[in-house]
Amino acid sequence: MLSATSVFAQAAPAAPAAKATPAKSPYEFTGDAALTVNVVKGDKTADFEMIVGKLQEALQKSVRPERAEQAAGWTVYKASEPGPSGSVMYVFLIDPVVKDTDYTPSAILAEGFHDDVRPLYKALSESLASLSIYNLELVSDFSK
Amino acid sequence: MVRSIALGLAAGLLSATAVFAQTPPAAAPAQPAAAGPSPFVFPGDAGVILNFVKADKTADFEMVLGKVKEALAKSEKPERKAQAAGWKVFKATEPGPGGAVIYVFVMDPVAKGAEYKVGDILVEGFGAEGQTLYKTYSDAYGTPAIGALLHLSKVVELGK
Repeated sequence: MLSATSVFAQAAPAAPAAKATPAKSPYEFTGDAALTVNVVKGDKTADFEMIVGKLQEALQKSVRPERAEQAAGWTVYKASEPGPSGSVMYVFLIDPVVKDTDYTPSAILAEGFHDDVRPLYKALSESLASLSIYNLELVSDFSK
Repeated sequence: MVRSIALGLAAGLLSATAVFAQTPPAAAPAQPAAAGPSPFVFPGDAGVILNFVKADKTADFEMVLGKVKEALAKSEKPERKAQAAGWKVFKATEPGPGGAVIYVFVMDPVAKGAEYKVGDILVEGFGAEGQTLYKTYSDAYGTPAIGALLHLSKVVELGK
């Protein structure tokens, strides 16, 4: 089967109006569930938890129905195990994923707090040391 | 041991392949008792284990997981029923180190006080055959075997 890339390679020259497809956000999850591991600087956990509270508030007050669906499957955990250099690991477990929606935290914050979002962006970016994202396909639910 | 596993996970930055660990396969039945609490007991609200499995051994791994499910379902121990009720297995789209396939165990909620040792569950359910199954399971692991083992406390459910 031809990949999208090879199909485009054989096509006629691109029309002037054609634009590059924007890269897909890593927060547009493709599986049944998703796991993100947010490694937060040890002295910034209060800021990060404040941001989590703002995410919750933004999701809950949104008039977009998909935001309520996203919130319904989104749980935030804190790991007992320390991260590197005194960091703290926060896990976002999203189960189930709402297909074809974007879970980008900054976008959700912008929707909910568009007039006051800059300090939230700053707090979020300054609190994170690193981030890992996993898209997950369900293999087995032992309860069923 | 738990700490080293968790530290492995923290090495990642937007990349599953950056996750490393230094731990052996999960808890063989013959493994000597470790000092201190078992890492496979989750005292908080939830637990997550990232298992790195050889790409050519995923069928074996999934077969044994089916047996784990069967053992839990047929167990008469209430804690085994409670474990099954909150235990899901996922496969990550992202590749692990060396082309490994990442299987993620999510235990949510955890059965408080119960030990999630796959080897013990298999032997309980299948006796001597459980040992053989556990060998198949262990042989499926890549290097490292476990990328992360996290004991989790719930901060917030965003829908509540």
